[in-house]
Amino acid sequence: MSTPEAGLLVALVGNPNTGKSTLFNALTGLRQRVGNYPGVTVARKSGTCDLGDGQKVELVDLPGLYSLAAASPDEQVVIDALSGNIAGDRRPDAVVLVVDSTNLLRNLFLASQVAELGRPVVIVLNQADVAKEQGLRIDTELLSRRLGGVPVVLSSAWKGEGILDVRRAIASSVAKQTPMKRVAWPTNIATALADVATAAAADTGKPISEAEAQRLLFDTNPSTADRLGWTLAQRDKTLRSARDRVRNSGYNPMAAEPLVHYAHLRLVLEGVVTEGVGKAGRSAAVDRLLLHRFLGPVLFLGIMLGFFGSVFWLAKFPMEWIQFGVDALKGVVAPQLEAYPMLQSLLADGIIGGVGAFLVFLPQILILFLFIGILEDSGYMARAAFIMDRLFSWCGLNGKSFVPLLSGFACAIPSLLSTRTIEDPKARLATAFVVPFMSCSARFPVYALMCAAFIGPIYGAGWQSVVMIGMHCVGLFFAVPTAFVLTRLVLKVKPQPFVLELPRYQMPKPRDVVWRMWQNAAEFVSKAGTVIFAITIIVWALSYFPRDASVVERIKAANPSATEEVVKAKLQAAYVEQSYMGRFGKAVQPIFDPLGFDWKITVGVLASFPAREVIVSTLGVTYSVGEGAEADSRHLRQAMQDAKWSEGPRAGTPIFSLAAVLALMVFFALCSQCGPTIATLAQETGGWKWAAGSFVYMTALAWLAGTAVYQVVIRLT
Amino acid sequence: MTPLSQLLPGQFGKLASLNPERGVDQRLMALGLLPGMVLKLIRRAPLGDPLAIEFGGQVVSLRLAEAENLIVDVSADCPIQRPRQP
Amino acid sequence: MNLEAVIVGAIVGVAAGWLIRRLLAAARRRKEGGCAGDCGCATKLKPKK
Repeated sequence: MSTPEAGLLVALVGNPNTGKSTLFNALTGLRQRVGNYPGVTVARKSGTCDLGDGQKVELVDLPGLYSLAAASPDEQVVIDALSGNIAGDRRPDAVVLVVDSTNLLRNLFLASQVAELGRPVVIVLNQADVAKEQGLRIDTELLSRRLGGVPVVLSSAWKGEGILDVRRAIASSVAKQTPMKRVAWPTNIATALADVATAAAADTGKPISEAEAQRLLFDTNPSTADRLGWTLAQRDKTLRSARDRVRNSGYNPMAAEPLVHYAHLRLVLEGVVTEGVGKAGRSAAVDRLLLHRFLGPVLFLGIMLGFFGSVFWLAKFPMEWIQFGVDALKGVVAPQLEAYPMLQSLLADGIIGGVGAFLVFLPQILILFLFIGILEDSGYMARAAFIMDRLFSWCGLNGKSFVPLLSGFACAIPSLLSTRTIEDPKARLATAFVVPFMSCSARFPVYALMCAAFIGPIYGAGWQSVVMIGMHCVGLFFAVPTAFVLTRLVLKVKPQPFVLELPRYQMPKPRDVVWRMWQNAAEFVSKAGTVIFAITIIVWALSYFPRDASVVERIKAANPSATEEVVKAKLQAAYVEQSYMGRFGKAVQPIFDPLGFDWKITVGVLASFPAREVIVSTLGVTYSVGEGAEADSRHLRQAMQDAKWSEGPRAGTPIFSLAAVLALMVFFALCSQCGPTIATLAQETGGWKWAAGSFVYMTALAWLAGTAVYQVVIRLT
Repeated sequence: MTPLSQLLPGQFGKLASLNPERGVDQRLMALGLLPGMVLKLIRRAPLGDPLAIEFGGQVVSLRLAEAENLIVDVSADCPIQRPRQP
Repeated sequence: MNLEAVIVGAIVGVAAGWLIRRLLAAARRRKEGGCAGDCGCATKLKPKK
């Protein structure tokens, strides 16, 4: 997918935490686009890089990884991209290896593997400033000679130093096409590799590169073989005898690759790095505090609560502004369309209201992404995973699931998006599935309304708090066994090796973090937003139609002496009752009868699908209080307290008994995945299967739990 | 010869053997943890698991169960490879 | 059939149609094995740093 102006393709590879993305941003000046790799679902991040003299290349930022022996599909993309095996992308004209200058040996392992692909290489020793601080002196000339004359440049992308040198090095590499010196394989291993290559080529009819032969021989996972179409039956014998040959020469075939590369690299690096006097890294000292046995978790809790709690109150004002803007827009548009009530309602209530309810999420999303970006870039995220891993390992997940789940308490949507930090697709799916159990902030108004109306006045403020907190725990209570069953039994998540580097702490670069936050949010708004938009329109239609003039007559007749306001409110309620949604609610109400819901509550639950806070205003309408009802509205509370069953076995008793109130809250705690959440879940899992499954599962669970609560409590009270 | 999981925080050792067939060990080898390499158990996580080990100038987190298979020679003379910590 | 009803009907119809098309397209994409390393999910990732 090269653009017309950038005929050349250059790939950026390196270990994680080497500042690769910072360098990418510096080289492309934020002229970036995110695309797709066909057939794979990793985002293709590319940008245009100006090399000077008007020469432009397309720079592709590949995922960071430690070894070409791919541990996951997204790591597999790296070697595929470098080999030119991705449909629509050709082999890169040059490969830029981004290296952490403070740890040349480990970083060059990947370089040494990449060298086997034979492409021109540029070595960028990034984070050179840190190396200098540590007193390290690197002889770049010597290293370049040892690596076969490839350009070796120092840079500090964070500080913006050395970028020009990198550009020049890339230009030089593209022009001279100098490959990196390859490792010299011991004879027996070389023969084994040749055997594998020949056999594979013969069996598949495809040319097999040396790098591919290495992957076939050294990897336990069959992804390369599968891609080539080399079946197990075909390759079993060849690989077995090839590996035996390696074994006979004294190398364990599964250890041969690192052994040979590292031995070679030690020779290459001899004398290249001189250690002088320098400051010791501060990371160890910081870790003594942040990973301390007792202080560690305390600080961790503090940091987490602080970050995610501030999503609430930092987002509060922007959210109110957006709401204000939305309402203002409504106020402007509605009067223009007085003559066309249907269109007016569609535009004002449906579209503006619906889209507005979604846009109101935006500040929370931006802030959440910002914080996650800061946590990741600073290196603290790895420490968080380190501390929390124990709690997650027994259900097949690992510590990396923690942050997405925690942020789900604010809002499920950015939380779902943040599951991208989890590498294993199954673990990611399990985590995403469990996210909606975290009681998101939209449920807060419902808890608040119910508790203020029914718990507080009767049982006191103490119980009010207990119930509020309890409802948040309901989700957790069910999330844990769900996660367990999902990971162990349903998905059979393989216990993933939890080998995680705890990188050096670094100061996040503000421009990078903000830019990433923006990109994530933009993608979210454009994709999920369109689905939500459509769903809102549908829900509006269902709540609006059909409208019969006879309803007006009926209300007026039943309330001859009422004021216009009261009539209007009652009219609105009657319209909802008449609508498809209302009729559906009444028809469906028997299903919710065991939970003690009447049809108005049922309609509220149904109508709040696009955004769960909507239930409050819906209750406001159906209890004839008018649409402007808010959670702390005394009118609504009064109306609900007075509401009684008019018919049936419960006639005469209050609708909102303690049992019904608790049941409603429990139901809400478990069944609150709003439309946007489902849409995001579908987007993140690449299909509607899991999203639909989540909806069905959680709704059923909510129903069972709500029923249990109602039936038990009603008998006790 | 002790399993890595039984080392005390702060203790050094030289890697004697690992199990190259396992995915975990392969990842560790890719990071440079090969037989003969000096490593140090820095600490255990506050909840006891996983472990933080240091080798070759980097700090890596490893689960207790996975560390059981890494056999370390604690009596060997262990020169600190890099006086500098990350 | 007044203009208003037509406009509203058109908007609602487009919304419904678009949603249905998306659902079908997603189903079709999955049937064609659009997910690599099939495990029931396909997730978009940003490249790690």
